[in-house]
Amino acid sequence: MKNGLRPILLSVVALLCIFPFYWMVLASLRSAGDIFQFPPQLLPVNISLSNYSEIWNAVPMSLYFFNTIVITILTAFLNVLASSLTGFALARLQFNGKKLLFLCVLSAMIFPKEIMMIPLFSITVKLGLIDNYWGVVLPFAIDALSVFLLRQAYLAIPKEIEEAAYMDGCKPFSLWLKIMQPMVKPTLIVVALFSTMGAWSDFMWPMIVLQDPQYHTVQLGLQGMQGTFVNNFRFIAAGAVLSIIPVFVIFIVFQKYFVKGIFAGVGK
Amino acid sequence: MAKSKQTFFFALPAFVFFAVFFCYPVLYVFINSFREENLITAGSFIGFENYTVLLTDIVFWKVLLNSFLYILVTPILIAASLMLALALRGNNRLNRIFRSAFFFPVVTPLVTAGIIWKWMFAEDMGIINYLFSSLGISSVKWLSAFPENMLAVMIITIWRGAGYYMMIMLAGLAVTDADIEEAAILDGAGYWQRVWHIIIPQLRSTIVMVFVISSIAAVKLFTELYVLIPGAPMAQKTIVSLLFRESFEKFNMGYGSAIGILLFLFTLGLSIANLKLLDRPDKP
Repeated sequence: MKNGLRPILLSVVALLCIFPFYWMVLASLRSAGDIFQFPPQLLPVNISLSNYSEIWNAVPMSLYFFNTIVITILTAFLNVLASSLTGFALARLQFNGKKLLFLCVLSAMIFPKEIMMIPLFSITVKLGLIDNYWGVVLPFAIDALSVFLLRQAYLAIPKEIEEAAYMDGCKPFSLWLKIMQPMVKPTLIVVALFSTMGAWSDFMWPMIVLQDPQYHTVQLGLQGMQGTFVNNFRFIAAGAVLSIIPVFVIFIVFQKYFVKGIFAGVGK
Repeated sequence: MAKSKQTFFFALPAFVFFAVFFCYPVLYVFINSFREENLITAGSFIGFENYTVLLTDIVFWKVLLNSFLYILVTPILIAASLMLALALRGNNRLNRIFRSAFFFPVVTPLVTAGIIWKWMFAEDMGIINYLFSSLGISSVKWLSAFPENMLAVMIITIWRGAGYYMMIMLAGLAVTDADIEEAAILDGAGYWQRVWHIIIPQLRSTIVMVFVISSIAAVKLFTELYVLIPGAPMAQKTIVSLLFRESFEKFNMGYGSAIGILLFLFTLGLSIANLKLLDRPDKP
């Protein structure tokens, strides 16, 4: 679109994208009386941070954050490590059952996670991992799409590099760690980023595994607040704003890797 | 390629993982779909009963229809993301700022997104109904009536999806052939003529990809409904909502497994298409 309408239309769309956030932040800063004002006040007048301190005291927000951070770090760390080992093996090593393993990876990409949750729940019960961080993390520790992307990244490295390394007496482990890891670093960051965001935002599986509120994540805590504070949306809004700050910070800092990841087909 | 003892170290975790957390569960869900299973009593083999009960249950057909109706957002998402990508094609500062603005909804966790919009859609006090009333439109029962609540969920899906698919479209646009476009400009083709006859044909596989990804996501919709309309009757929800209720609230794991197998079959075509698109060599 090369006419003057373009910036106006884009600004309208941007406003539609951003307004819901603005409206929630505003709700989180209002008092009990002001929030249900009619007609609604569109501007930030008469605001305070008191809802934040109240929500922080009323529900164990710091515990929710702690749980989420632990689960997110474990998930991202395990997925990056295991997916890169697997991706490297599939791209660069010869072993019995290689075709079978790759078939598993491809099938896992096709099989909806929502269906897997039924048997995985039984397994998690049997392993005694209900109400345990590992119960959330382990069943999805290796993400098939991450393996697939890393395999492609290792495959893209020229064969000569591998041959030269072996000529110099390199073993597969040092080839992987010292030579090829630096070369696939952008893909590693993309995988780390998307598993971080996924773990932070995940809802259905943590809800199934973490039944004791003591282990609840931020997203589970938020959902719980909807019942507790039915008539106090300003508290829920404060919790929602807090829940979103970390993902926004990560997004702003690593923006270019998000774009890279989407170009490679990661995400949803 | 090297054959070394170290190979073992690389592939072993994946073999263990896929055996325990993929192959066994897939087998288990398949077998369980032919069993009565509730995790407490022993359970028993009941043949096709779960399937016959499901297929004769009107609620199952309703949630299945709803799940597929959510695919209706797909054409809107394709049009919106394509328009945004076309408008933000150049890599300048202003365009990058706009792209980021459109991307904030994408990174917003689903529960948070649901809460934000529940506040906007509130029927008495919500800003949307207030806007409608000031425009003289009667207020909409966004959360309590069907299919209005479906429309509300679709709006959230579009809000969260447009920026994401815009990025995929931009990736597609980045590899279109600039020479053909310049030739068309010299031939006097207008902007929309170029979009229709030159750009869109080259974006075909990207558009198919967006269609496939957004359709799969639409069929598997769950969390938005769980947050937005928890109390709505099951007939207004989706197939994953039914799967969740049967498996994790009623603990009818056998019945839930049968729902899961049918969901798998219904999405199989889309999933295979998705896999093929990921593996195509001309991918940007």
